[in-house]
Amino acid sequence: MFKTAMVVFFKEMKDLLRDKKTFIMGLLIPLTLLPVMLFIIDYSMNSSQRRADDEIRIAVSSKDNSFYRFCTAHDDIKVVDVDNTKAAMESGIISAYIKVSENIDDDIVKDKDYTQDLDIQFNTSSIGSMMSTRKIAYYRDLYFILAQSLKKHVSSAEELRNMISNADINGAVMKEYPYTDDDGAANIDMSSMYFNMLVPMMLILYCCVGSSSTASDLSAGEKERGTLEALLSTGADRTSIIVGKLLATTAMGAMSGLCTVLGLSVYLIVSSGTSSFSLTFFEFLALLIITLFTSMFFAAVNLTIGVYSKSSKEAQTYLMPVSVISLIPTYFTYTLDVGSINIEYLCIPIVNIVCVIKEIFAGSLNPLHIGIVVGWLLLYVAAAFSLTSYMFKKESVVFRN
Amino acid sequence: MIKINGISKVFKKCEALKNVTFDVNDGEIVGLLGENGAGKSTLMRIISTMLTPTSGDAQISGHDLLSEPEEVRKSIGILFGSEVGLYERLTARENLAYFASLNGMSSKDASKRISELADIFDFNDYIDRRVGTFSRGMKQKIAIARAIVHDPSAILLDEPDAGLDFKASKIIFDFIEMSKANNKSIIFSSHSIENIKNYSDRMVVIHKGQIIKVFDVHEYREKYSDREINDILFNLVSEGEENV
Repeated sequence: MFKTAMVVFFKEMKDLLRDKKTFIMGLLIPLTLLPVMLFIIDYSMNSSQRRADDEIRIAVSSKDNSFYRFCTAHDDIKVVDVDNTKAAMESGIISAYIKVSENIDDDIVKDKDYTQDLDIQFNTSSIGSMMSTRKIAYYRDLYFILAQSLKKHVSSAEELRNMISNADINGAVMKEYPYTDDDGAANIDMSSMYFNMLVPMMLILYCCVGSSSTASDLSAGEKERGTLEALLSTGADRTSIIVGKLLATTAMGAMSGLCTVLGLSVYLIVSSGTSSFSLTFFEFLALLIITLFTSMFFAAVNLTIGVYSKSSKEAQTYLMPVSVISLIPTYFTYTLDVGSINIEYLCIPIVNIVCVIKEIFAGSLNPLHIGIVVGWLLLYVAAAFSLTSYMFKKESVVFRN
Repeated sequence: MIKINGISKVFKKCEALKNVTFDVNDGEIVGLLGENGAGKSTLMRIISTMLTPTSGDAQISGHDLLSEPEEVRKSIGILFGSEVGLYERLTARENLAYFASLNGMSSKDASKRISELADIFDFNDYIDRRVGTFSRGMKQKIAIARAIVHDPSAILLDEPDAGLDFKASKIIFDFIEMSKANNKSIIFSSHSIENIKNYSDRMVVIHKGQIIKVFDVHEYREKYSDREINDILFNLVSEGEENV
C-alpha cells in the first residue's frame, strides 16, 4: 500500500510542479504577497506618522483661552477654523477637534482641577487622525505642565494667556520635555494590530488555497480529463491512490504555507530594528509544525470536496466558500488576548490554529497548546480522510456524472 | 477467458444493460456493435470493475468480478472510449511507466515493456515528449499502450479507432491481431462496421442494453456478400431487428 501511495505521490508532484499556474499561485504569490503587504503597511504607517509629526491640523472650540494661545505659539500645530468639525475630521481637514471649557483659565488660576477642561475628539476611522493622537497628547501634557508651573506666577486669566504663548517659556519647557516618538511606538501599535490579524489570516488562507486548487485538480480534474477511470482500472487499490493524492495535496498546501512563513521571515529580517516582531528558533519551528498540520487539515477537507465534485468548476464552487469560511475564525480571535486562550478555544477548528499562531508571535509559546492543536488537527484529518476514502470507493460518487 | 453471466445494470430508473451473457475465449476477438447509448461502454466499465452490476456476474481469467476486483483489474487492460486517460504534463514514457508501476511492474520490466510497445505502435520519435503536445492519433496510440503496458490476458478496447487516421488505425488493428495470436481475450467496440467485420471473430450486437445477436463473423462472410452483411448489421443496430 505504502509503495503504491508513494508512486502516486511522486507522479502527482511531478505533474503539479510542471504546471506554471501551480508554481505561480502556490509558491510565488504566497512567498511575495505577505512581505509586500507588510512592507506597504509599514511604509504607509511611517508616512502617516511623519505627516502627523510634521504638522497637526486641529480645530479648537473657542479662541478666548490659554490653550488656543498655546497652540498658536507652536509652528507644528495649525489651528483651523471650520464650521462643521465632524465633516472636517471625516474629510481629513483636521486630525482632531478640541473642546475647551470656557472656565479653563479661571480653573488654572484658582488652582482647581483643569485637566477635565480639555475634551479631545479624534476620528477613529481615520488612520491620519489616530496617528496624531500621540503628538496631540504630548502637547496636551506640555500645556498642563506649563499651566501647572505658571499658575503660581499669575494672578489673572489674561496674564496666564499672555505668558503661556510666550516663545521663550515654551522653548524652555519643550527643551526640558522634548517630543519623542518612543521608537515609533504609536506606529508599532498600529502595525501590530495589522500583523496580529494579517499573519494568521494569510497563513490559514494559503494553507487552504494552496491545497484547494491541487485537491480539485487531483480529484474532480481527473474525472473531467478522463484519467480517473484509467487510474482506477489499474491493479492499485483505491485507498493507496487516495493516500498518495492526500500526500500530494498536503505537500502543495504545506509549500504554500511554508512560502508564506518564508516571506514573513524575509520581512522580519529586513525590518529588524524597526519591527517589534521577531521569532526564536523554537517559535519558528513551532510555526512550521502548525503550518504543516494546518495544510494537512485543509488538504483532507479540500480533497473530500474534490472527490465529491463532478468537475473542477463544481469543485471550485464548493472550495471557494471553504477559503472564505476558514477566515472567519481569524476575525473572531482578533480581539482575543493571548492570556485568555483556554482549552475550549484550542478545540474549535481553525480558531485553535489562530490561537497558537498568536501565542507564537506574542512570545508565549506553549508546547502543550501546540500538542493539543496538532492532536485535534490529526483527528480532523483522520475523519476527513475516512470520508474521502469511503467516497472514493463509492460508484455513485466517483461516477456522479 | 472472459465469461459474462446475465449482467444487468440499472441507473436510477434507466435499465442500461439487461441480462447480458456471452463468453470470449482465449485468442478470440469479439466485436461489440451498437448505437450510442446501447450499453457498450457500460458493459466495458462493468467488466473493468469501474461499475458494479445490479445483477449477474463475470469471470476474467478465472477471477471473479465481484469478489476479486483487484485481481480482475490486474488481468485486464482497458481503453475507455471518449477519453485517452493520459496526463498531459507527463511524457509518453512517464505516463506508461506510471501505469506500469500501479500495475505492480518493476522499473526494469516496465522499461523493457515500454520499449517493446514503442516499437509496436511506432512512437519512438515522440516517447519523451509531453503528451499535451500530441495529436489525437498520437495520444490514442499511447493510450492503447497504457492500457496494455502490464501485458494483461484480457483486453477491452472501447472505440480504439476513434480519431485515428488510416495508418494509425492499421497499427492498432495489427496489434489487436497480434494480441489474438498471443492468446489474449479481446473485446473491442467501434462505430465502424467495417472494422468490426474485418477484425472480429464474433460479433455481439447490443440494442437498448440487450444482446440481440451474437454471430460468427467468418460464417456470415461465407454466407453473405459484404453488402448484405452491412445491411444486416445496419438494421440490427438501428432497429434491433434482423431483416435479411
